[in-house]
Amino acid sequence: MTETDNITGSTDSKHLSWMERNGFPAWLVVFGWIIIAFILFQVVGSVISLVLIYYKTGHIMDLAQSSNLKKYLGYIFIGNTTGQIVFLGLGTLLVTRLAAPKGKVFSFLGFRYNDDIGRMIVLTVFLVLAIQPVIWLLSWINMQIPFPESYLHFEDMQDKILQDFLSGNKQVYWTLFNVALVPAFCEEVLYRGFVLNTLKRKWGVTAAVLISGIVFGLYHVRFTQLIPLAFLGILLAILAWKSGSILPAMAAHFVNNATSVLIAYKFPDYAFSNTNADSLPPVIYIVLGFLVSGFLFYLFIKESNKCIEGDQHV
Amino acid sequence: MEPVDQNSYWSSVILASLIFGVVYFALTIGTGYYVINHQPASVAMSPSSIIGTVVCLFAGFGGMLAVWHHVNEYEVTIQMGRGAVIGIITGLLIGVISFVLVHLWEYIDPNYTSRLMDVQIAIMNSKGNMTAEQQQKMADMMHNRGGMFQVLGALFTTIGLGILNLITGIIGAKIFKGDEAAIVE
Repeated sequence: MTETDNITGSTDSKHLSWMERNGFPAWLVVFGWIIIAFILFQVVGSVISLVLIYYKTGHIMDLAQSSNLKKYLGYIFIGNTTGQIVFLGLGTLLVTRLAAPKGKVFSFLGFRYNDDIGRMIVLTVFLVLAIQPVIWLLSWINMQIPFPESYLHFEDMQDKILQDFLSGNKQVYWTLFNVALVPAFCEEVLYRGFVLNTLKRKWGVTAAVLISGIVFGLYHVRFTQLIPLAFLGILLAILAWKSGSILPAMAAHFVNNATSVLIAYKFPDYAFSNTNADSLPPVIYIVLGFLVSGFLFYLFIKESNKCIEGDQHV
Repeated sequence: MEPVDQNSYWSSVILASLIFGVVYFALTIGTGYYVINHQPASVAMSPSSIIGTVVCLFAGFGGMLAVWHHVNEYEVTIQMGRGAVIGIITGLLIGVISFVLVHLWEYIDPNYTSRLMDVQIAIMNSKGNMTAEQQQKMADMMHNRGGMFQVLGALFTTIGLGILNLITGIIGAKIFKGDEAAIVE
């Protein structure tokens, strides 16, 4: 069997993607696109923010200065969101055309809905809410790793800017769009759609789930949050794999981010003092978090197995 | 079925990355000394930055060289994906080799990095915007954490070289064709 054939196990070139027909290994396409998309997203997002600020003020601002970051965070959000939509979202859809069999881009990414998936979406929404104490515990564990003081100071500065923006910002829907809706769509298309499914075809489910989750954690470039973010990435990958659809993971991602925004908006003191990663959550929260989320996860798996059995029966 | 090349590409990759790594290192060091001795601190687009860009673009052709060598060595025609793999590995190796050689250069000229850093700090200061206190803070940070900045810089350079060489590797696979009769089935 050739290298090309190893990717799908098929020798029929009609069912091969452009990438497979031209001998591109899955790892190269996946990691190459993650790096290129990340660079383009950061560069173009920054340029758009700078242009908008220049248009508004008539001056070129140094966005490395925290005072400018704080003052023009709204414009930075616009640049960031545009970069995400164009490169992480639309760019990934285009690259998927190369990695998926012809005419099957959306089914390859997992855009699939039926009543069973609807029930799984409801379960994932409750699951991601119930699992918050566990994520908090993982944040605390991550914080036990000694980081350089200058790096911690840098992250603290970022948190402070975000805290000021969220607590003082009255445009809650606009913030939800930038912080919850766009990342839930674009990051899910990239990680649980493109990365998970491309690697799964080549390396199998376990490796695909673990790698897509860990890369998702690394992509946020917040090393004090690497463990909880990677955990969340792995969980979302399992949800996408077991349901056969990207929609439950999108819903869970949206609810996770939207909850943070709404808590910061409604209860800023609580959001930025009690639930920070420096303090351990109360034991009762952790126990309840494990029990409830474990039960919901069990229900989700049961539901997905039922769905698979139903498909096989049909 | 499409013919697929299964020959090992490592000899081509190592040869091309050694040639381009050494040349890239030599040009980097040369540009570094030019900056140290001639840099007009207030010019935004200086000759050294243009030379630096040209040097980086030049290093992007290592992937194409490796593909050319591989195609000629085995007289095969390779797929674009194979060219991309050869290109990216060559690019990453060029980055690693030049980084190691720059570090070894510090044994020959121990003041090279600190002199280069001083010039870079002077360039940043000349652009204004920073108070004396901020300038001092920046200088201290660059001297104290110079190693971290160097590693980060080398990492970004290596990734950039990997992407550039990936592209030239693909182009090489399209341009260079082996003897059709000798294609490995």
